[in-house]
Amino acid sequence: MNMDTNSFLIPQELRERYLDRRLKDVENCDLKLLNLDWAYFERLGHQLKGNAASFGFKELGCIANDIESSAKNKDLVQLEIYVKDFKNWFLELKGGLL
Amino acid sequence: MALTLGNTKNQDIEIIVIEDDIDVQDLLKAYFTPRGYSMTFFESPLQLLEEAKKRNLYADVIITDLLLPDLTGTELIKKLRAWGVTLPIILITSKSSIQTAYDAIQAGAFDFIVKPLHLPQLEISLQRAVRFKEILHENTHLRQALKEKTEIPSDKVVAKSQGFRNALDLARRVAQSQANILITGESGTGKEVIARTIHESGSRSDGPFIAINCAAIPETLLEAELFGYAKGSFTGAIDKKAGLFEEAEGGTLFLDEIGDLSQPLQAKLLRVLQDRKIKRIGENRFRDINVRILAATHRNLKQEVIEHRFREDLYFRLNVIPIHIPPLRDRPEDIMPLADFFLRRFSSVNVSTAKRFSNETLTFLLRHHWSGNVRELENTVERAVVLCQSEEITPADMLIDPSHLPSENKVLPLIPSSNYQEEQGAKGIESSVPHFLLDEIVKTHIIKILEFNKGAKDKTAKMLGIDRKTLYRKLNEYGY
Repeated sequence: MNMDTNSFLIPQELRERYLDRRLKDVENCDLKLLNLDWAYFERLGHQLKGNAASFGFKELGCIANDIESSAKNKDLVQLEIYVKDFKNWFLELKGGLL
Repeated sequence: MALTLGNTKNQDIEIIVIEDDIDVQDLLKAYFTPRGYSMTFFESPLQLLEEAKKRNLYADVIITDLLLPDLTGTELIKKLRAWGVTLPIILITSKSSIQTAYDAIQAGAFDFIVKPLHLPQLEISLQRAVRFKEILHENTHLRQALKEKTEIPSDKVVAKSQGFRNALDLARRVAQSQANILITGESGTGKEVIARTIHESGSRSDGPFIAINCAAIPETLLEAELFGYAKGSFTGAIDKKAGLFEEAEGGTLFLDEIGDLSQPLQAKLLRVLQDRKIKRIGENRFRDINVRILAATHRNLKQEVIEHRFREDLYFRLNVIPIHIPPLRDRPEDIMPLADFFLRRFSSVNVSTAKRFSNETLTFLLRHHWSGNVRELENTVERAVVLCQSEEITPADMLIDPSHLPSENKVLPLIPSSNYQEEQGAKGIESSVPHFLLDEIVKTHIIKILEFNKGAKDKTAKMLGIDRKTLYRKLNEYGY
């Protein structure tokens, strides 16, 4: 995982804060899926698509892109798959960090 | 709109960021703050706009996201531009389509950067934006300085006479309208000054003011100058060129000496005035223009129409609001203030010793016919200032033989302006202007006392030793 895509070393504190916010997103996902909150996923996907790579998380950027487009298309099947990918990505990362 | 330019130093560059993504806010802070940039964040465009209404916000550059809660970044840019904010605005977005970039630039964005943000790239864009803002700022100052040096601002036009003041007042009154205006007057009377006043007092004052003398350019060249041409449309057209109608877009095109326009060009101008479209020479397509056209002439256009030298339809289209400027000889009250103004101006420019006019020179200035009007007076004073080797300008400095002074029966009834008298000090005016018509002396004196009293008629009547009714009657006679 490339942590320095901008020739700018992201401060550790900043990355941790970023991941703390992603944890909250992961925790929110199930309820939002249950409520079919398309706008939430569209917005989440859009934001992560735009910011993940800047923090060095390119893969998350790709998953986020898929979340945004499946939410836009109101495709629940696809959205559930990508949300699961998001959760797995997070767990793997946390596991790696632990 | 209280959103103005920040400092122009390289350090402490002030940036306003409109971004609802807190992670991006964190990232920007972490990168730019240690590098000397100062950042103020707003989570939505409306938050920024509300804050700008409440207090002065200073910035060098604005960075805005595209997708935001209440307005899009593009809509925000349009709004800010409509408010007159000229700051460079950089749009950042994850939506990387060509259409989005096109819309952003069309709306007035300085740059368009796609997320994920490459921070060094954003910094380069920021530095370019700051440099652009500085150049814009510098350019505005230089233009202003140049304007002050080369032009007489319309609010500082030297005009004591009622005739010229009437023309100026009318120019200011009609400036906001879109009606066609025809300015008439002899050569050198100040037609361009009136045209500039209309331009500067109207809604197009931020646009260009372009003047062209139709009599000074051969017909074929004039057409190319006005309408532009396509590449290869005639020998010598090695590249395409926009004409003055296009260059004056959003502003004013002043066509001086319109009475000298050839018949074919008159027909083309009429079409432009009717359709607000032009066609470059050698092109087939029409282009829309948004230009105010002002025309002027020293000729009697009505007579030109009668003698079939000027198209009647064009005359009527141009002459919606006529403004006539009287010749200088018919407004002698303006001679001394103008001479005095040119004396100060050219003395300063030429670092001359000249400070005043001798009595003999004064007599000449007041008596001369000034067939070339203000332009002739200006040239005469400039020549005298350059040649003068003492503090006092003599007729010899004007290259005038005193024996050529006009005879006294041609004396223009005038006394110098109050400013001029003050500067001349104890010299007085009696010796310089030996003969006046009595009525004119009375009129000039009454008006001077009235001006001295800043228009207070009671005080003026008292100072003059006449009753108020007499003063009112006199002023009425003088058209005051």
